[in-house]
Amino acid sequence: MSDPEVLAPAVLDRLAGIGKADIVVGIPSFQNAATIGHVVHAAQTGLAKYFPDLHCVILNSDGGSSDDTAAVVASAGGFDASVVFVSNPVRPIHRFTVPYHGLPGKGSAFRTIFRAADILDARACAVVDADLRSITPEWIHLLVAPIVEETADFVAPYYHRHKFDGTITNNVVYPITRALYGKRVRQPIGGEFGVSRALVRHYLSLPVWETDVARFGVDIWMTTTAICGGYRVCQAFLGAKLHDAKDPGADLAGMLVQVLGTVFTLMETHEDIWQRVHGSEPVPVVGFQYGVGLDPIRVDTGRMIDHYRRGVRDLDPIWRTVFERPTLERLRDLATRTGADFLIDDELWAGLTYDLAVACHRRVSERADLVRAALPLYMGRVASFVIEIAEADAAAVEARIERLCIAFEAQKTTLRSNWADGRR
Amino acid sequence: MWQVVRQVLTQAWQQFAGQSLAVLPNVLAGLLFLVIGIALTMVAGRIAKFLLRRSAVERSANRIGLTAWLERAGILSATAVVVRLVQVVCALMTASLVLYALDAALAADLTKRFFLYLPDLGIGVSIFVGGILASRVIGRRALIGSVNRGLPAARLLAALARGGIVVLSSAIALDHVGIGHAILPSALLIILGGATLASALAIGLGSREAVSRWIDERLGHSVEPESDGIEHW
Repeated sequence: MSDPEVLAPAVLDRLAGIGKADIVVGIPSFQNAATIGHVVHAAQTGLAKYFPDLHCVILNSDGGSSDDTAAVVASAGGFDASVVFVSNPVRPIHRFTVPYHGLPGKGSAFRTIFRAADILDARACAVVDADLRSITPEWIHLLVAPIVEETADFVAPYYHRHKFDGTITNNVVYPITRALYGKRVRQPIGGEFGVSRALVRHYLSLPVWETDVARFGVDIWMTTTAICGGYRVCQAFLGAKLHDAKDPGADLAGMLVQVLGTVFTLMETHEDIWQRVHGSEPVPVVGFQYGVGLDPIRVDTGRMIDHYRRGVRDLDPIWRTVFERPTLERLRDLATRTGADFLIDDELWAGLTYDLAVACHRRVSERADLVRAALPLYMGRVASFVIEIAEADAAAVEARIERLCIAFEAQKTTLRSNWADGRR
Repeated sequence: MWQVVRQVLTQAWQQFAGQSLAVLPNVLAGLLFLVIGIALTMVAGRIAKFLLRRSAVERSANRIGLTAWLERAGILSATAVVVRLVQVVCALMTASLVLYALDAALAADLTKRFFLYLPDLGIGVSIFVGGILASRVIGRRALIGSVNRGLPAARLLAALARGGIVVLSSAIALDHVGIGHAILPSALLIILGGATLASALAIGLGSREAVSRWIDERLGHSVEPESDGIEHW
């Protein structure tokens, strides 16, 4: 069970004062003063509108923001009850900010939220990012209702995103998670989740909160743990996901290490499960699905291909420890191509990803180094994908991603064999 | 006159023959030890190899992650390392026996000196090996980081980082075993020079684009966005 010291005595007193809750909505934050007011407002309205009879708490788990995040949460006004209710009084919704402790990172914020939900004995716990601009009260309903109605233990988000966005999800995390664990969770690192009481307690009971999961990778960890734990999983269609622009100088290599590093660590943890899984099955989606118009994005594939070529030119000594010679020759050949001829096809990409997983399993080098060394390959794949889908509509892009997933599933036999042999 | 010369030659030959005959048993014994030692070293190596293969030590080393560590240091087989260690021990014993056969006093003196020197030598070798391993890790990170940051001289920067650590660790190791006390300050100077060159390259090459953008902005030219335009997450 979780260490109760995760929460400060003052917070424990506050929770004791509240006693018990049915729903806890957690909002992890760091420097989100610009957007968190809207998120709190949407959560508050959603809880009041869809769960007026239930006892609800909104908990902001803050990582020491120096802006006005906590003040915005405290002052985020109520809602116009006449807009959302025909009748019925509303139960008061408790709302407060808790600074989280432990290792700095989103995982520690989640731990604080889960611990509070556990103490409050909440039936359902939803977590939403503090930088969301497109969140509506319906999101809370969609994330929480399947849990309250006891039809699911874990609700993953399902968004419409621009066809060029979410490339780590589309090209790596979704295909590999689906192929490994057999569940088609389209946004396994979405950032918004609904979790049942049983699953919250399961999460808290696992000895990961002092590891890297506490820092990063908590999204994929939660999804994978829910699937591997045999919990009922569903997806909630939330429409478009729009959020504050990430820092343009953000370290993409670091992000890749966070996500892929956790995926590969989980492959070690759940080896006995994914080795037995063949194929994949759909995961039910709740919510009315509709088309979403998204602003066009201008993409610079030239920059990505240059990055790929630099990798081919300079990283050969490292890639040789990961990939077989024919694969390396294909990569070198690709570096000479341009335009539509620059194509990292699905079979090659699935093979590269699996080879990287096996190399991490063999520990031929530090995991973070191997993943960072794979960044040029990822950039090449993204450039190739962007070139390929430049004129495609949303449905065609989904069909394209489906073909990629099938390639990952088809090559799983090779992965099993190489993993067992310790060969690349 | 000729009689005296003949007498000197005879005495010299007799002395040479006498001393050679006196040493000959030692030389023969030494040669015998050498031949037996070489044969034993080879046989011991083969036996060790056979036993290690039978005991699946390679698989065990792989399982506990030792193989990967050795691979990082450029050693492809745990078995090869153990076999080489056995052979080195046999070779040292052979050399010791040969020396004792030739001159017990000299051998005893050398053995004593060797064992007195051994701790310093061990530490020196450890420092050197540690430096080599660290240089590989840091060189690799410098290479990956430079490639991902778009620096054209990635390999040069990595080589400078790697070389700097090798030079420094070698200098410290040599200093520790008492060879070339003046090497350490020289090595530090080399490192400082290398670091300055690497920094100049990194800053110069890295800021080339920034300077170009700054000039374009000043001249009122349109400036391309720095990111690729995609939200990868």
